[in-house]
Amino acid sequence: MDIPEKTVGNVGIIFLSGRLDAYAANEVEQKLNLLCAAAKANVVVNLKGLDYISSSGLRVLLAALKKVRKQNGDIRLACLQPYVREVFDIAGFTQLFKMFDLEEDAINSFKEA
Amino acid sequence: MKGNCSAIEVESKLENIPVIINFITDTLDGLAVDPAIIFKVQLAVDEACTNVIKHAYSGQIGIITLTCELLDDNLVITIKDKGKPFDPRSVPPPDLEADLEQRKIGGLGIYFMQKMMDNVSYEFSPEEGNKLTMRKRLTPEKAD
Repeated sequence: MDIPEKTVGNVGIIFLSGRLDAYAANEVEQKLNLLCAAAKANVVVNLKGLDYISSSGLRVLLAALKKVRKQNGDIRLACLQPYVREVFDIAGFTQLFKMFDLEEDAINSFKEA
Repeated sequence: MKGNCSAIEVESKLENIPVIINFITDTLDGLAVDPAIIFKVQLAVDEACTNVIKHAYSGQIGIITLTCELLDDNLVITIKDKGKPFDPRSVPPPDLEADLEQRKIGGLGIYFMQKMMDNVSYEFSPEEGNKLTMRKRLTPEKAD
């Protein structure tokens, strides 16, 4: 998976696309580990281009979230497509991650106290 | 599907998961199945095959055989491997209410299989190995 990234202020944003299955999960895990290594890392994962996610993808996101929250940072999700959102709902992940319809809203949420 | 059944055989490697899923998608597209159902079947098959790839052959490469059959209005998918015996139904469901700290990293795959499909059954024999059968009705039940 090609995983572009950008920075807006102190927020790192990565873009996932296509399918996040067990095969793609390793690469995404490595990218997230890099982004989340710093203390108080603020990360937005833009899922607009993601058509599909399996439990392997959820596992990688959850592991990164646990790590980053221990260091007073956060991972927030933006632009989930309907089927992907459904997978998050079924897995009970909707209560674990902050989710936003727009990338801009996810980025701005880090500015709030 | 030729007749009512199609099949694929792949090596148990993660890079073959997209191959398997494309097989499912192509088969179901050809039957004009609702995209929402295709998504659910894809996910269930993905999870089942990922388990086989990760666990059945203890790190070695083995063969996974997948068949896709239409019986009346039901899609019947079987996934066979000759790895070590494993009944996915023996895995307890994840705690979906757990908070972040308590939430376990794994365990969702089998839960998804059972949620996405109408029925999941399992058999093992020394000759045939593991056989997982998953069923999904392709059209909604008609209301009375």
